Amino acid sequence: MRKLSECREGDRIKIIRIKGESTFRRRLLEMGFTKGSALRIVKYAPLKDPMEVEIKGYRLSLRVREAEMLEVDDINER
Amino acid sequence: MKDKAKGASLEEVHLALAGNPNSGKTSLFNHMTGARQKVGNWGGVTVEIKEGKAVHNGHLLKIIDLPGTYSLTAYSLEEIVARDYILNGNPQVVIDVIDSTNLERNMYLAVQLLEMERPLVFAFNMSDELKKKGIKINIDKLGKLLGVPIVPTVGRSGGGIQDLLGSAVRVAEGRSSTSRPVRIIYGNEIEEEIEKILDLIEAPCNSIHVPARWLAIKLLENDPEAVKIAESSGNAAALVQQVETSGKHLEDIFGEDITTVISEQRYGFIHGALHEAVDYEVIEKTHSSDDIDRFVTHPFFAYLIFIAMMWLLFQATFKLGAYPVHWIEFSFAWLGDTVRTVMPPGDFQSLLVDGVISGVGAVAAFLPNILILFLGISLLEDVGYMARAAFIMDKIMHKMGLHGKSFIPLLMGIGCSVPAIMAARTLNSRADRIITVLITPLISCSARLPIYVLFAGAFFPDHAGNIIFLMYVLSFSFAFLVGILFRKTLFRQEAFPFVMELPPYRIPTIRSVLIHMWEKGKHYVQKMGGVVLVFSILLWFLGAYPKNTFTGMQGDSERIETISRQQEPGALAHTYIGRFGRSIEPVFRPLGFDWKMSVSLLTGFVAKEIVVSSMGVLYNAGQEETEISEESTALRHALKANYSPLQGFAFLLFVLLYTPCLVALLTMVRELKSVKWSVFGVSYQVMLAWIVAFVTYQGGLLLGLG
Repeated sequence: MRKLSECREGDRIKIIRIKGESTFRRRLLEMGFTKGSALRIVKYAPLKDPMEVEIKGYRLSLRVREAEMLEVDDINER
Repeated sequence: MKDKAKGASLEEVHLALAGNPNSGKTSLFNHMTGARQKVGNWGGVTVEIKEGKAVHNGHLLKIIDLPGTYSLTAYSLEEIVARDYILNGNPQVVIDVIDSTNLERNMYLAVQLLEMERPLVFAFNMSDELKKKGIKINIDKLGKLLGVPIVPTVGRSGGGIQDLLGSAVRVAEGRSSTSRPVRIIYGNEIEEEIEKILDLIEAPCNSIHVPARWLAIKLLENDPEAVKIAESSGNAAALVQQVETSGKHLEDIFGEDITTVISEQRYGFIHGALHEAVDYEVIEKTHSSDDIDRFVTHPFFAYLIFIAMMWLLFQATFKLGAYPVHWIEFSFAWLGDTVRTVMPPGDFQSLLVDGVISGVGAVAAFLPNILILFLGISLLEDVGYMARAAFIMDKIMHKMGLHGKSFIPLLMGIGCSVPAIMAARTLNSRADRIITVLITPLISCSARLPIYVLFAGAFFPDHAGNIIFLMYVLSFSFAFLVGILFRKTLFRQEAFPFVMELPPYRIPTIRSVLIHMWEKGKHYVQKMGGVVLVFSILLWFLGAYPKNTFTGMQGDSERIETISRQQEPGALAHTYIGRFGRSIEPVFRPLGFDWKMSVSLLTGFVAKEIVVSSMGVLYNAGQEETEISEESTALRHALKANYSPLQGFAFLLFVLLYTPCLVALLTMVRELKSVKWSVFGVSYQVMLAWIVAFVTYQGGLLLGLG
């Protein structure tokens, strides 16, 4: 298990838990960051912050400090 | 709209459009109503509720365009507005515009609408892109599952709109065979608690106007607006108590907060429904968007492209815009001169020429810049570049307490604060918007340049260029420092997460870009024109009366050159502005300013460049030359003879910071929609200017530079 902010470009991971205060968690949930959702790190901005991720078939950007609030894990290939 | 109105007895049907940002909602609205409106690729462009009319098959349709939202919680202004309208605005049908290529997330809003138990129609927009993306939707099946008629639409071309309106009318009349109430079931544990809360809500002593089950769920989610409703109900105490016990009970069972559980259940419901009715074909993806992005967010090219884009935007707005601005100024000057020759001189002629004509001219002169800037912004937004610009600039701007997108208003501030302040509208968090609007006037606008040229030329002839450059450096430094300060003090609480959608690149339609530009121009003329005119006339009056000479001070904001040489130097000093300027001179004395400086600064409120002509009038420097300008040698000599370089430098700093001009201030009031914040904006600037000039002057004296 690691933080989303520790992931590299191209990593495919799933969401384990979102920490942080409730408004922030709520916002992310609405945007589709539910437990177990698959996520792909598309890239980091040129200055390494924010980062672009793909979730539920669309793209969005997150600041690295916000990404620290997300615990993620590798997707188990079966 | 294509249908002819049949007879006089049109039955009005009231529709509301809801949908995610970037779902193409506004472009559908434009096609339906023909209203002049904006389509944006950026989240939350539609802030206000817009209304339009259309005629369909003998029905008059009243259509409301709600703000684009991802959800319907009570945590953002847009969501509260949209939700409140759906519950209390009594739309007969709510049309949810859904980006059908991005179904899962878009359906989250749809599910919340289902829970609000309003008659619904889903517009599956961008349906022309489905095939390319390998998405096959069984629309009939999905519609039956959700109990909502679904109509495929294409926002760009307006395809499917007639079907959509037809379907909405059928739903409004209760003739739809698909419509039926569908309930999202949250599992036994939660359902039991919902039942308990429902019993209390539906108790006979209550008359609650919102759907009971929706309220129960919202209460479990701890929604502040829902709690307010509960607290004003007949059995408030029992209800609030029950919600609390249920919440605790459920948290014990699930081991996390209920909001999370409920959101996940909603997504579970969506997932289930889509699984039944949608096939995702694996297509060998050729992401053209990714190819473009590789350059646009490339570590090196990103900033080259960004600088090039900003340079183009700036040049187009202010250099290209300068031509029409000159024509407008020339026309109004000509008109003024004509009236002057045709009419006998006197108070009325003066009012007409210096008050009305120059006031209207001042309003009109901003128009070209505004139109071009918004044409550019709208293009960048619709293409999808704006989101990328914010993406690559966010780290830098965030350090200054701002959003990646605040860059554009600040940059445009170099040209003119008025369009720059209007450009802050593209920011979607209110805190970002307020901070950006407040600091934009600190950026040195082009109207301040003549003052720098005059003073730097007079006091530092060998280093004039460096002094002027220093002014710009200071201007940006102050803007950023104040930005950080405001973020750290006034808006600490509002940590708005930077979850910004990066929509795929799209080719904008010329129509939508032009509509947006037209809207902005119309908005500016309608909302600003009258107020600016009234204030221009007022300021002209204060600067021209009471009279003790033949001609008054010209209140014209745009034409320095019209301050003619027959102007009596004493005239300005005796007007209301002059008297006021003299009376507040003691305030300026610690800064090293005399009454002439203080009067000029006051007249500069009309427009900054007026400071130059006022100084000219007060020093009677127009005598040898036909026009007073910043290049006037006579005026430079007069300044050099009367002030020390230190006084001149303190004056420059004061001018740089002291206040937005009249039109900029009125724009601030309009954009912030708050007199309080606007007054704060002017006050902090005046105080900052005073302190900086004071420290510089007194410090300089101490160092023996006086």
